[in-house]
Amino acid sequence: MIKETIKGCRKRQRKSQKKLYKRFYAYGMSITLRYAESRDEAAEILNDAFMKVFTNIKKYDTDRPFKPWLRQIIVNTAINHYHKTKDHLMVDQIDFGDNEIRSEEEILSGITYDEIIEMVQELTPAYRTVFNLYVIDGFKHREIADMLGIAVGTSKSNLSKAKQNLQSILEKKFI
Amino acid sequence: MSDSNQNDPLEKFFQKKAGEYNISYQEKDWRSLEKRLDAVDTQHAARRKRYIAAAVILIAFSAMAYFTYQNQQQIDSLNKQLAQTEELSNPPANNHNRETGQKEPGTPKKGEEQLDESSNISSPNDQKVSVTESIPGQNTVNKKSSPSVERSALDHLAVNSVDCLNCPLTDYHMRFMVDQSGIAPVQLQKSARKEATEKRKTDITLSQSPDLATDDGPRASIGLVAGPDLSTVGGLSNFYDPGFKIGFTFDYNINENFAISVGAIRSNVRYTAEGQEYTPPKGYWDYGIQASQAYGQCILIDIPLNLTYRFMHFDHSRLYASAGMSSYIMISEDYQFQYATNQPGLPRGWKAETGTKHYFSNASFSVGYEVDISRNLSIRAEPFLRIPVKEVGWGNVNLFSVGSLVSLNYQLY
Repeated sequence: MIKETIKGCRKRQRKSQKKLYKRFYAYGMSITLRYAESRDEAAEILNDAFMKVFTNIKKYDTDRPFKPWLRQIIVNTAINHYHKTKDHLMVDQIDFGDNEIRSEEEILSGITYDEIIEMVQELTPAYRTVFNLYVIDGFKHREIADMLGIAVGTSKSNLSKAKQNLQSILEKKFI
Repeated sequence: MSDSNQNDPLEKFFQKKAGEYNISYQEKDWRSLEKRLDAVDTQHAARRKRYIAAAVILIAFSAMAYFTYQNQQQIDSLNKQLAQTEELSNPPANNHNRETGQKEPGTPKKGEEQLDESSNISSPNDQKVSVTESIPGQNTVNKKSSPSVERSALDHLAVNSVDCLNCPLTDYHMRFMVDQSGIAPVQLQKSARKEATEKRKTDITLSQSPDLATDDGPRASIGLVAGPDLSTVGGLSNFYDPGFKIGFTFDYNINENFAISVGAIRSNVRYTAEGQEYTPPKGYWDYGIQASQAYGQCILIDIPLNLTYRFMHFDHSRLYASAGMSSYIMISEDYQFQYATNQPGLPRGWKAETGTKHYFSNASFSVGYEVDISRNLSIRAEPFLRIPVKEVGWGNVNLFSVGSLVSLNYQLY
């Protein structure tokens, strides 16, 4: 069924494009919400990503699954957006402290997805991006360093600080 | 795959929670995207219309050229027949039949004198011998091989030199002469004769007909070309500053109508490209931010290879059309970038003397008008269009170019 939709997208049929958008809207937003600071920003990143999808839909190999291809585009778009905004936000880096990372499983299990997103959005763009790329999206530090134009050491450092900050937020809000 | 710490509970927690999303669809987000898609579709439609218009113009032009060529061929054919007819009425000076023979009834005397001086047309029997010798390969009665008509003889019988406006030949007389010569009968009507006579007045003479002119026409020429160049990326719109072309071309004439041309033209190309139309090498946008606009100024050598068709010949000028392929050799490239947001540290430009070669990267089309200003010199005006077949340059752009070249050409041999 998705092949028919993609076929329609290749012909620039608006109906097919909307169908594809609606079908992967939630999935796409679940990625962009983690990279953005707000829902509006997340929607903007998602729309940028889908513009690239529709523009390059002819390059997509229909024999391969669509979701990973879409995910790659969304993540790349999110990183582009990060680069656009990072200089504005460099001064906003807040270090939540050097607490040790501890496990509070009982408390953590009750936290909803939206609350998780809120916590991630409280991180600075640099920490948030590295955290998402490494922990959620599964990239290696070397890959992250290439994508963001930073050193591997910086990527590791940012990840560590992101975790510390998240731990602090968790403790402040839920513990 | 990630080399993450699988035992880190925080990581495991976020990984688990990241998949538990429950996000509701919002129509306003789609409407925002739809506006952007509509804008892109409008651009595509406009581009498609331009291509269709260009194709229609090309087809119409080709059809016009074809019909013009056909008409020209008919005119040439009529001229030849007329010339042969004139030759019958006024044979060459070295023709030995100078006796006045039996006249055809109804032939006025004034016209007769002109005819009888050159051939014994009025006497059928005598006529056969003389006509055989004067008209190549025509008469079946006389088995002698007929000497081919010398070009000088034809020149002598060039239509303009025979004042048949004053020649009171009747249609009957004309048909008789033609029949006796063994030429396929030409049913010359008065109106056709008058029309042929009128056509002679328009300077389209035998001496300038394509078949005869080929022997004396130039085989090759070189030209100095120059002219403005307007270039753009992605389509025939949004032109930037005009550039300039200057260089040399070499033409080799296959025959009167066809020629092959090659050239080396130094081109100063200026264009602007939107972000998505400009694709530098992978990894250049290290910061992940793509320029929203790129301004390019390039020096390149345009090497066109074209086939030229001269579809209309006049006395000292001709109309022609050319089509072929151009190869670009990039000499230097200079780009300036603009961004949607003012970001410090972003690359503002790139320049280098790249020397990259892009063979047969652009299709080339042009029409032109050439005027002879002397025996060996001619001037041409040639509007052109270059359409990309491949991407060129460091930015990998589809480069469109329009302009007009003026050239001074010298016939070599």
